[in-house]
Amino acid sequence: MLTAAIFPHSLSQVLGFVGNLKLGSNFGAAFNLLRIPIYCIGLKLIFRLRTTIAKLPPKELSGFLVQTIFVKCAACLATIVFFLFEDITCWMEETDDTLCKNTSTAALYLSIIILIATLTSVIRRSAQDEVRKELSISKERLASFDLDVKEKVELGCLFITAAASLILLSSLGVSSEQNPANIYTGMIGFAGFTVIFFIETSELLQAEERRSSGISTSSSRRLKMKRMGSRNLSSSYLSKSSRFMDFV
Amino acid sequence: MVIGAMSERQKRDHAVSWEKIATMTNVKLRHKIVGFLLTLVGVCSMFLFCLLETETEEGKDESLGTTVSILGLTGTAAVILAILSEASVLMKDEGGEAIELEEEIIVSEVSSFWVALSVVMTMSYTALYAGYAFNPSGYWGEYADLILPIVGLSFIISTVMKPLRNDRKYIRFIVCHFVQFAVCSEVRKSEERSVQDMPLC
Repeated sequence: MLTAAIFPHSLSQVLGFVGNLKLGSNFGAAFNLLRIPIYCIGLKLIFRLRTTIAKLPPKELSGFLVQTIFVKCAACLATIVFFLFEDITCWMEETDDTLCKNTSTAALYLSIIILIATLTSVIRRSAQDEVRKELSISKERLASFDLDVKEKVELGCLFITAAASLILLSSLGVSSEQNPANIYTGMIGFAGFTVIFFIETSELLQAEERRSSGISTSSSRRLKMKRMGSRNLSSSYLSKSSRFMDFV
Repeated sequence: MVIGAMSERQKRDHAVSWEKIATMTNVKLRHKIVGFLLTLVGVCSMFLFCLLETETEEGKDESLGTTVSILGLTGTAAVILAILSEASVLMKDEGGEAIELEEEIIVSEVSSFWVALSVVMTMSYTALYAGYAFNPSGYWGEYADLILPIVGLSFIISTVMKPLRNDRKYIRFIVCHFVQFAVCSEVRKSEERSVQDMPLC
């Protein structure tokens, strides 16, 4: 069934690849080829997501469908529509369409960032409560910066995406010709959240696999150790700060 | 004010939870109409909000003014109808029966109506393809860029709205939906043209 789904898409992309090569657009041709694995992974992920959601207990499933799929996605849709209207308004206002390129680019990238953020949230909510608690970062750990490499990367990407989104938001209604910096900012923001999406997805899949194979103790042990570590760390900070205060 | 003037019983009888909306069960026609009207008000308000600081130029004043008027009037009419609908509930005298606590609704799948709506929204990309086929010099690429995030979101949520359905028929539907989305998710950008030629303006 999966092959049946992937075959028409792959065929269309191969034809697009040939067409783009004939036109001399190497970038377009490469993008055509790149889309085949991206869509295959996407479809596989969707079926995996469905299986994970189906395993949720009835109450959690109900909460997921109503709060995440229905309410959160409706909110995401409303925000995207708002950006869309900003773009359309610019088209209606300006006689020269090159003056709207800035707004169009900002609106497109902001919408894509919001879309990926919503997808990340959907994937996170598809896991059972226990798994989510296991993977969440507490404020205490954040304050003491007791994070592993993946979490530090995630946090860094989050800051980068937030900064990129703010820059894009500020250039949303500005009528000017295409500013290349806007495209780069959008791409940085997009890449940042894509990294977060992949880290979250891989962590959840690993946690789910551990859970289904009954090896759930290692991660919880790791979590306990982390908590103990953070406690030790905070106590050491406290003792250091009290010594410093004494010294002062 | 109208909702505030209702009795507790009236409020409880006419409240619509997210669970009810998701499953579309026990949702009265009045609620469906009010829901549609409020969505219309939201969309019109958003568009008007975006037009708030628009500077008009020569030759464009008339079309922009007409758009603002149509949106404003539609939004106002919709909100008035929604208020009237709520007021009709307030006016009805239904006696003072005891309040019955409603059972908690457990949602196992979202209504087919919302799945169909998502599929229709995803298919808007296919409609752009059709437009491109008839008129390749149009602005289909620009429109496609605009609606791409909406189409992507609609496609993904439509596939997970009924997670417990694993029968062959439903899986076939998901596969066909994927094929339709994946094959028709790129519209080639047309050549640069003046913005006045765009059908939207």
